[in-house]
Amino acid sequence: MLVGFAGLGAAVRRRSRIARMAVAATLLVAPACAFGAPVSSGPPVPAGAIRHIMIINLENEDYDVTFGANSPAVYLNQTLLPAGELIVNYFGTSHVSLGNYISMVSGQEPTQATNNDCLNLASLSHPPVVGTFDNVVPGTDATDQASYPGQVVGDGCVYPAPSQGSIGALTIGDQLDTLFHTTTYNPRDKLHWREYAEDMGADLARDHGVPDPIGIGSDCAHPAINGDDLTNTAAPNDQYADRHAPFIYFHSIIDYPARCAAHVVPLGTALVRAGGSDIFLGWLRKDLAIEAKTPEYMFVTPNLCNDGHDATCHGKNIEGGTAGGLTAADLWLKHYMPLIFASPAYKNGSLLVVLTFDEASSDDARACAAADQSTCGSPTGQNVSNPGYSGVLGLFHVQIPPTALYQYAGGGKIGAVAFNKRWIKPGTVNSTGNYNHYSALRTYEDLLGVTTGGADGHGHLGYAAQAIDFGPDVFNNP
Amino acid sequence: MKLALALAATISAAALAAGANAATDRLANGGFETGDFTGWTETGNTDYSGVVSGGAQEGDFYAVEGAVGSNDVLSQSFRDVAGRVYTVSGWIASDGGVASEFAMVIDGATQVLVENAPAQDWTHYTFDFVGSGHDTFAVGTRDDQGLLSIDHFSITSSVP
Repeated sequence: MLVGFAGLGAAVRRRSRIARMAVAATLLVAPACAFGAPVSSGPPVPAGAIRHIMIINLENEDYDVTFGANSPAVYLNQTLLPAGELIVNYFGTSHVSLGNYISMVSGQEPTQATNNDCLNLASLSHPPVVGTFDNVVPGTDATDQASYPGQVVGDGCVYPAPSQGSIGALTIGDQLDTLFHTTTYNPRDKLHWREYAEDMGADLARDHGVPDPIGIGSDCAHPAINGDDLTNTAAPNDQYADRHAPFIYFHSIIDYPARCAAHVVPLGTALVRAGGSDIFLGWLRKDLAIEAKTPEYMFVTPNLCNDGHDATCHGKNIEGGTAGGLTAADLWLKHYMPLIFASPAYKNGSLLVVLTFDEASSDDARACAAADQSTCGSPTGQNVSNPGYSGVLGLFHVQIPPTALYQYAGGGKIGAVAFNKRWIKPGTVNSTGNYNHYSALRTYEDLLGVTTGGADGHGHLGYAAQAIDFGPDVFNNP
Repeated sequence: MKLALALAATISAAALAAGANAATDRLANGGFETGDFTGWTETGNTDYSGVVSGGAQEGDFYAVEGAVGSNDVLSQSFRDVAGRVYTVSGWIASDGGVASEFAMVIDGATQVLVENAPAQDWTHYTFDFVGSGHDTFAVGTRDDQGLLSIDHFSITSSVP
């Protein structure tokens, strides 16, 4: 019953486009797939040239809608695209949201549970809708590491940490702490990675976590293992969602509370003022102000309104209205991107900003632009053979259960926009490569100098080991 | 941390300004135009403290200060003329974060104290003091949620 289906509202609110998608796919002249190949040589940027990476993740939009002629994302299309590079063939890795976030930071494939956003399915018929926060079980290492590099096998939401005799799952945050030999975790310290989640801890009873020392929200907010996730539906005073904050789904992070609290923090607040000169408070503002304090890896999650998830916001968008979707996301970008572009790290060319989405609408489950999806090289893992199929979408007849591999190969075409003052020509459109969240992770690992460990011994986690870096088509200003 | 206590360790012989010409600014690099804290001694909570460009009150550079939970202190010791009146001048801009504190201090005595400043563009603060021949000026800042911007400090005398 859709009344209780708020967490997936954006995915199901659109009319089905399966037939149209299939026609479109057959008409495409597919560029060469750029992931799924065994090896790539790394991004064509000198080591250390890009020292900071920021991923801004928005929600649930088709490429054609976001970047189409009638897009409500006016600022994105008219102001941001001329400043960056549109990567046309960038694809989500699964449906629905959470699996994509997991893949972005860890290279792990989704589980059946994460492909349901870890919803408690029983609560759908007995609202309020809540989520689950249980462990991936059995959580064993894939026995065929050549086919399923670094993958954890099982079902559930929270991935196991490495242990004696087990590879487990790590995140790029773990990799960076190892790379930089981080041993102390004071939130005031220079940190090498941070997740900035808007509204996290705005309602402590809803989100949990520990109060942040600067007095805005809470840190490392997540339910107890096997507890209820109360953040599925936004509240007027708190539009944070656990399922959009991927680092909390890893025992390698949450089992170390002080470390998690230092790294997984609220985004902060924005006071929008007429005539510009917005005022920003919180960790993102502080971290960006001085390059020496700017983390190497930043993952920014706007709230359920500002990331475009909710068509109508339960609270307010950044300008105080209730319009959600791309309109709200575009407004958020309009106010936050100038803050980012004004940072010393961006101005000196050391910061790469990648703006993307988790997934397309549920009726686009492609993994690349090729008409034959089996040629994408996208994973068909042990946990879900069709990562673009979501059981809960099937439950509501939004998707039809697959009958063959590659029927739902990925999370659909979403596009991405990359910004860098030095290595990317502004105002360019790249339709050459095919990329997804795994190839993005690999690129970030390589750019930041992670060269050891991972699933391949060269620093690439999970399926990033089989992906290909962003190439000279992306870094097009050598 | 109270500024008076924090100042105990801030006097640096290396920071002493040479000469005692009344028309001369007693401070070195009071506008951070070297692009760093040259001339200043920084103590206390030095987290989130740096010199940046773009939007300075004067010149190209200014300092941003966002120490969390305790104060950062920038100080300079200098020679002056005993008994002469000097005017201290400085500018801050605030984003309205709390808890915040901005203090201008001479020889451990706080002369200007602004707590939890509202969001404001560059705002001028000034006070006079009587030189002792060898004094220490300090700027104390804290801004838990945001950043204070500070710029264009000077210590001059109107006596020719």
